[in-house]
Amino acid sequence: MLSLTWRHFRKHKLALVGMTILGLLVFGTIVIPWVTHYDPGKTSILNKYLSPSLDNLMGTDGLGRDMLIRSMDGGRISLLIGLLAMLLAITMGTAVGSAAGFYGGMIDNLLMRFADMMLTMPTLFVAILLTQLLRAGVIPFLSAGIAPIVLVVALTSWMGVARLVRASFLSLKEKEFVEAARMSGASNFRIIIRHILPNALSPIIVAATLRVGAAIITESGLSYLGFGVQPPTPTWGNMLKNAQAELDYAPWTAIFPGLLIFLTVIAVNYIGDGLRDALDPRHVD
Amino acid sequence: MTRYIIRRLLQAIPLLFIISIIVFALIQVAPNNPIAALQNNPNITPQDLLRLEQEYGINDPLPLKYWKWVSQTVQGNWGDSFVTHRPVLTEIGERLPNTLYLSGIAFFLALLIAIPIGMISAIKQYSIFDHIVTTIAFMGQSIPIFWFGLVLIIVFAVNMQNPFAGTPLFPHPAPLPLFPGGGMTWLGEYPPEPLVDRIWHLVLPVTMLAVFQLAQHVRYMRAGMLDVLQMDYVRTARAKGLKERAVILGHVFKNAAIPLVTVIALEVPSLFNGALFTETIFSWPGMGRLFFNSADRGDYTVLMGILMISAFLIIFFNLIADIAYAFLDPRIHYD
Amino acid sequence: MSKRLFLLVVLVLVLLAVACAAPTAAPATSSSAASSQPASSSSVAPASSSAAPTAAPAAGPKKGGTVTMVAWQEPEHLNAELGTQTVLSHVFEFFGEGLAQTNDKGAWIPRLATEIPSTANGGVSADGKTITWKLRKNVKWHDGNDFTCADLQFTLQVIRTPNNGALDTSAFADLDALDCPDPNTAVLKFKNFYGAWIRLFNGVGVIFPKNAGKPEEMKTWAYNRKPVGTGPFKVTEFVTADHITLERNPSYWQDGKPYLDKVIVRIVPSSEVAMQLMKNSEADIMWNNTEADLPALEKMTNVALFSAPQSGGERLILNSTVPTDPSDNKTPHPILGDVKVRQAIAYGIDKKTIIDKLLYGKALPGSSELNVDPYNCTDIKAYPFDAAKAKALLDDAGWKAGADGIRVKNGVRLRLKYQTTTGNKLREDSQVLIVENMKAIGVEFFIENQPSSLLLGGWAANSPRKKGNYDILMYTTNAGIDPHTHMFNYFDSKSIPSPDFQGGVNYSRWNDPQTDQLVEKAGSIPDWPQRKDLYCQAAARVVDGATHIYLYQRYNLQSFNNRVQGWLATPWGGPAWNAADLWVK
Repeated sequence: MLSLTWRHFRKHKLALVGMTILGLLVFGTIVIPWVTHYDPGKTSILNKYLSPSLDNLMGTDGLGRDMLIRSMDGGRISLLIGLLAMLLAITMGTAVGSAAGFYGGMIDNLLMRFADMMLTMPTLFVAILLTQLLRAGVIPFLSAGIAPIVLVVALTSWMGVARLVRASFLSLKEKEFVEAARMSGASNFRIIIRHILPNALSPIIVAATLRVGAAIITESGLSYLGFGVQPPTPTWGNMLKNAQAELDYAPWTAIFPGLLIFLTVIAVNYIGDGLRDALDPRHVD
Repeated sequence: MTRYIIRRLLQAIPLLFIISIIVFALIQVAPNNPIAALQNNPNITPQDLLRLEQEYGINDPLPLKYWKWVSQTVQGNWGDSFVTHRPVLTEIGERLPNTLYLSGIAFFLALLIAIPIGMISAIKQYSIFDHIVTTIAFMGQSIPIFWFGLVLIIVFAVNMQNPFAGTPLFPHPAPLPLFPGGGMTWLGEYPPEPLVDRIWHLVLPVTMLAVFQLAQHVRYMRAGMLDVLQMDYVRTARAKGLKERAVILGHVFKNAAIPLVTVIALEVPSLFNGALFTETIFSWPGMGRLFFNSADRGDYTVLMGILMISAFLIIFFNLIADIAYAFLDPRIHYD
Repeated sequence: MSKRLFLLVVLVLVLLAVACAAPTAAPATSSSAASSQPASSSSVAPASSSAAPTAAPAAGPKKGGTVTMVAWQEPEHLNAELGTQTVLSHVFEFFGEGLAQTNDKGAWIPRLATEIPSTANGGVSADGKTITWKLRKNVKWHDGNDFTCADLQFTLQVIRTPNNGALDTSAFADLDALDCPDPNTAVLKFKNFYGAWIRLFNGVGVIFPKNAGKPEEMKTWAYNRKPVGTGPFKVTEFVTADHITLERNPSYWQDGKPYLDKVIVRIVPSSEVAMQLMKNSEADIMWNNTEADLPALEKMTNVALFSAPQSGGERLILNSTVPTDPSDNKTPHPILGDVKVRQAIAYGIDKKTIIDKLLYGKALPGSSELNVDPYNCTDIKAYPFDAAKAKALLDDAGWKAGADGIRVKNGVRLRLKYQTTTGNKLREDSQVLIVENMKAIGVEFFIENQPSSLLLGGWAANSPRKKGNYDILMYTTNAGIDPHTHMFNYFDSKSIPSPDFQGGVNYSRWNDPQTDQLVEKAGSIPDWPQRKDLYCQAAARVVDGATHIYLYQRYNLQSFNNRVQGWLATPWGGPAWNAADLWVK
């Protein structure tokens, strides 16, 4: 099935472009800071706010640090946050959705009510409140670094995945192979994990890919408001926040991180689109 | 159907209670409170700070605070803002029209443009028009919205001049920005005529707000149309000799619009919340900023007011969406 | 499919082209050469120190015109007794007045009073416990009523009413009685000598008209949205979160003033937006510019900068006691308890680079707590940047460099937590520089910033500052016009916060009997030059003890569009402290 999927995927040129872009970005964010021995604490204050030139392809920021390398460094964190938030959201959503879809009845009701309830709260507002809460140090290891924002983004986005997974499970659990597995004595848990889940994977994978883009945008939005990762750790989002004051005389500090977010999200969305086409041939586009 | 509706409405009540508890706890555990800003003021003595903390009930235990809040709210008294000392409903009532005005216009414009574009794009699938539309729609959904707003400001408010400055349309002498960098109306000397002034101030924020919605609605409309255009009954209608326009408008559109309708119904509550990013970037005095400022100051009566109304709207419009769905698609019914 | 691909490529190229073109595109509004801005206090004419401020401009003030001031903080309300927002204090300068006012030299000038009470003119009694203010006649409130001593009595009543939100109650605690022998004389009788008596009704305590409402209902007065004052402008409109309109007071007591017809206070959510408005000339006045605004301001040829050195400044506060136990304020901090370590840190910081590069030269190196007239302790010298000396001190104190360059003593690493408020780019950038400085002398600072409401919050909020659970903090504070409250609160051992005294603000836990003596004595005598001397001695002890390391003294920065004339830079007020004198070209 994998090779069939890959063949379909390959036909989707834009998805391939997306993969290339994403691949280049991931490569860049890992390799460039490493190769140039980038030290975020090292400042070069005489070189502040240089506009883009051959020496500094993206210019320098207020402390003289090269924007290209810094963007790559920040990109690594942003991509990591996107990935981790997505994984967490998918895990939570799948757990809830599969239980709801499989067991049905009371459990379904309860879990879906809970998901609905989370959906009833305006996401941005809840994200802000949650961040304030976590920063107050309520849970010790979740008050600094990237952990709070990963948790906040995941907590506000798992519900869609749960719905999707539940819908899949609802239809799949009536299928014959489930009946067969049950008759061979498999426990419920085993049936869920080893039998149904693999078949429900397609929409999950598509959702996962699209989630990464959404998570990156959410993180940058929250950082822009001041609720994301705190400096000195750079992310694309908090680089944009700092840059707003410099729009008049150093617009490159704002344009490039935003552009990188934009490219990443487009790439990820194209990949998701391609995957959706490849995995679900009935989908018309 | 009516039983279903009643059941849903009844279920909403305990739901709202639970939400209120969760949200209240969320707010209270954060350290923000209305007098936190006074901690650094050299003129306020420590004794006064302690006295004020008492007066504002900052250190009351959580259940007590919740009880005070819930018992007065249920009776219709939503409390006063701790910061401005005016009723919560007044605070909300002053900002809400500004928000509805901005969000509403963006919403309707986005729909007005998205529907025909989505339709045409679907009908002329694979044409250049279609390709341009889908690519732009795709980008519109991928762009970080606040960055887009900043770019709009850089381009139109900071770097471009208004060529009509000094004319009767814009009496203010040059230099005048092409579009203003914020606010709802011009507050200085030589304001333009009121209607012109309002529209002039709406252009950039509406663009920023609408871009994402536009992209999303175009995609939904187009996808819905494509799904329906393939259906047998469309072929039947064409075979019957109906003109293409009658087919589209009479048969296809209605069914294609169903997913769009549900999406729209679910977006209505967000009109109330305001768009925090837009309001921040364009200095719009709306609900989003009210929430942000209140969260910063720990003004929980206002926060609870906003969140409860918001939750209620979401529950209500979810129900409307479900009803609309059932109404539009006769295959669906609830009991 | 390939058509789509092509389009995508085109769009991306267009975007990249825009991105690369933008940095070199010259903004259309400002012209090529940026004119240099005056570096120190700019003024049109010096104000005389004994009379009300007057401008003596060359071309003569014109009457009329509207001025827009942009406020990047949303006013909660306009009652200065209920809240202390900066925006409120700036708007207040247009509509409100006190009995007296501080001029740009820090000297008191009479405003609603006719002269400043002193022992010489009999206004201050021999024992200092009775103060007599002579009130100006012919002053009217904006609603037409006369201003009399009864308004002061009413104000006192309001401030003393419990549970109405009044902020300044304890400042008036020593005031025994306020008598009105006639409508234009107020006699204040104090129980004990109160050193800061002149602040009462002048910055501490707003004067309310006696018809403002019931004292217990202050939170819901109509005054809060539409205040009634005696000042040159009256508030006519307050549209929440959008703007405040003030109009000329035709019956203002200063003849011929104010010159302006109207003032509009425009409310925006951030200082970046405010800067844009200044740039486009959509706004005429912007208050509280920060140093970060300077590069943009320098480029704006339509804007002039008002700058005057402010009191106090940004500093590092070092915790001298153990950070682990909120009730233990005696046991010295394992690393910072040693004064040599603290002094080494002070010598190791390169303040000049921070000032030149991050503050664009618009700040003075921090030297001590009291650094502006009327209490400028010029004898106290700032710590120079001397890394060699810092290293020598640390070596002396027994801290030897380890393998990675960071010093170690008895198995303990010289590693300290360094905290400031989140969301402040200037601070974040300064931190990076200071961490570098410290690394060079073998000290490791690690950064852990927190939001202001937590870091600088109250005891119940678990603020690390209150509970002593920190190593090094960085923020700005300053003494008000009378230094007593600040010096006592920050440096007297009785002000150390503890579970029994949660309101205390001596955050560094400075415990020095001599400082206590100096400060307390200064608060008990009426003679100003003597008081200043004692406070300066106390400040010098703090500098030697290095629990406060003064980084830089900031400038009070306000910006004015070139069309606005008549303004005067001062450390002690906002852009409109002499609002009656402002006019437009």
